[in-house]
This record gives sequence, C-alpha cells and structure tokens, in this order.
Amino acid sequence: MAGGGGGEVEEEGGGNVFGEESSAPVELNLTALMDILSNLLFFLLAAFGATIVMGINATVPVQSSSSSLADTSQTVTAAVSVGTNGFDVSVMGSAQTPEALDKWRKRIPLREGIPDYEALTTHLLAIKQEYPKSDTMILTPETGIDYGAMIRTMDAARETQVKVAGATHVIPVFPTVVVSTIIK
Amino acid sequence: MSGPHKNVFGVRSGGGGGGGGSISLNLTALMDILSNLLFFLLASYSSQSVEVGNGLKLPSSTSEMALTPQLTITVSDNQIDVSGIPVAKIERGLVVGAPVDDQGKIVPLYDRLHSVKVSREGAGRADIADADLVLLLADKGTDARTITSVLKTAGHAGFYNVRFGVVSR
Repeated sequence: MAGGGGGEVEEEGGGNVFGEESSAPVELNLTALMDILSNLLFFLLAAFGATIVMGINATVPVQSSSSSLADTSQTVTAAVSVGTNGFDVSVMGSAQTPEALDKWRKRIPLREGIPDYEALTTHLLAIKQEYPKSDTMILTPETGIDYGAMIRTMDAARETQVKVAGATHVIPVFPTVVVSTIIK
Repeated sequence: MSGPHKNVFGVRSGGGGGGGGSISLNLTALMDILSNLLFFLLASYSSQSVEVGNGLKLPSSTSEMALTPQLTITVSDNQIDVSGIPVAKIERGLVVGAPVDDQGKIVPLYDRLHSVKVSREGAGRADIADADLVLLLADKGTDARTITSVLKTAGHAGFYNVRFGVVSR
C-alpha cells in the first residue's frame, strides 16, 4: 500500500481539555493497517459474490385418504413431464369434464436442440388464465434428464413477466411444485 | 514512501510545491469507508447460512427465496452426505454401492434421516417450524433419477418438504 505516513493528529490552541501542554504532532503510520483492511476487503468481496444461495420449495407426493386433486372449477393441477424430447403437459381436475382437460394436453418439442422453456411458460400461463386459482404443478423428470433441467423447468413454471398498459407485472403461474417419479 | 530519494523519472520525491519535505496523507476518510465496508461484508458473510463446498456446482435460478438453516442433504458428483456425513457413493450421477429397497429408498440415507427425525422427537423438537423440511444441495449435472430417489427417501423418513439450493442468477 502506498501512501504510508498516515493521518496527523494535532491539537490546536496549545493545550488539551485537561489543561496539559500539547506535545509534538503525532503521526500515525497506518500503512500496515491499510494493508490488512484492504486484503480483508478484497477477500470478503470475492467470497460475498460466490455464496449467494437461494431456495426453491417443493414437496414429495404423500399418501392421503382424501384426493389432492384440484376440486373447484377454477382450479386444475398441471402435470409436466420433462424428457429428452421435450415437455409433455397435461392438466388434472375433478370439477372439469375430460374434454375440457384434454384441450390442454400438449407436447412441446425441443427447439434447436434445447428444451423450449418459453413455450412451456406460455402454455402454463394460458392454463393459469383459464383456471386462475391453480398453483400446483407435478413435475416428472424422465430418464436422461439432469437436475439442472429440473430447476430450469421449475423456473419456467414459477412466474412470468407480463406487460399490461406499458407496466411490467410479475405473475405467479404454478409456483407450488410436487416432484414425482415414473413408476415402471 | 518517504525521503528525498529520486523516483523512477529521476525527479526528487517527497515534495508538492518543491519543498522537499515529507508528505502527510490524511487517510481518515479512506479508513472510515474501508471500515464501514468491512463491517458490512463481515456481517453479510456471517449471515450466509449455507456452505457450498466440494466443488459443488449448484444450478442457477431466478428464485429469490432466502435460505434458513436446515438439515442439509448434499449430492455432489461422487457422494451423498447428510450434514457433512457421507452416506452413499455416486458414480456418473447415479447411486452405487448403497442398497436400495423395494420401495426405492436409499437405505443408508433413510437410516441417517430417520435417526435425525427420531433424535429430534426424543429431544422434544418434533414440532419446531419446518420440522419436515430438508435442504437439498445438488450438483446441476446429477441425474434426475438420483434426485427423485433422494426425495423419495427423505419423504419416507418424514421429510416431506424439500428446498432446493440454487445460485441466484
């Protein structure tokens, strides 16, 4: 660290508050302290950016005596299967007709070799607009899918930004996730 | 930093205005700023409740949910551990060497989680907030089958809710 020599503490007026004569000006050499502080600062700055860890809530399926399926006309449960060929989306609900539910069944293929997360969000948002009280998605990863793809799918399903009259709003889509498995 | 030596340009150092005397830098303000930054960063650093090590590469996410200390299951590229205690090995993203029962539970993981659950109940802490919540830190390249096996095992042990640890994007 350059610039040693430090701050200067000097009393003016010939005496301190105790009436003692002022001594010669004291020069504090802060160079070593500055070195230590700077090193600590850079270390903490580097460490601070690398450890910001957030969380995503999910649940596992639990056996229950009552049906956990959505049971109002404004509520459905979305089922999203993530595979190496894309997404398979369907909806489940006990208050809708099979025809009404089948309308939302959709296969979203890969786009340029990667999963089409935007199309998934768009389709889930359309389901959400039709059944606005829905919030639960059952996520089923197929063989060959990694954890990163699961997280990206949850991100795509959690919320989306919608522009209304020039203002951007964040709308929750299917923020509640149940992670399921395929039983063979 | 001091003295009447010549610098690299051959100019006599130590003098604004050609006086030749030593310079006294007033570092008080700089020290103030550095101290404030230091205390802020120290406080933030100590409030980070999750330690991510072993070369674990968490997936990135847009989630903004902060983490609180939980029972942590870590799935790295070579092992599964519960709060730092290894319970199973992983090769190529899949569990190897650890018995998996007919319900799909990873037995050593289940035993460890179950013992935590039992010890909590024994200590009268079964009703604490988030008692059935577990934090899962997994490498982003882990096979989804391993993740679902771990979740299923946690569910059988009484930890029905899971919080995935991710790096903020």
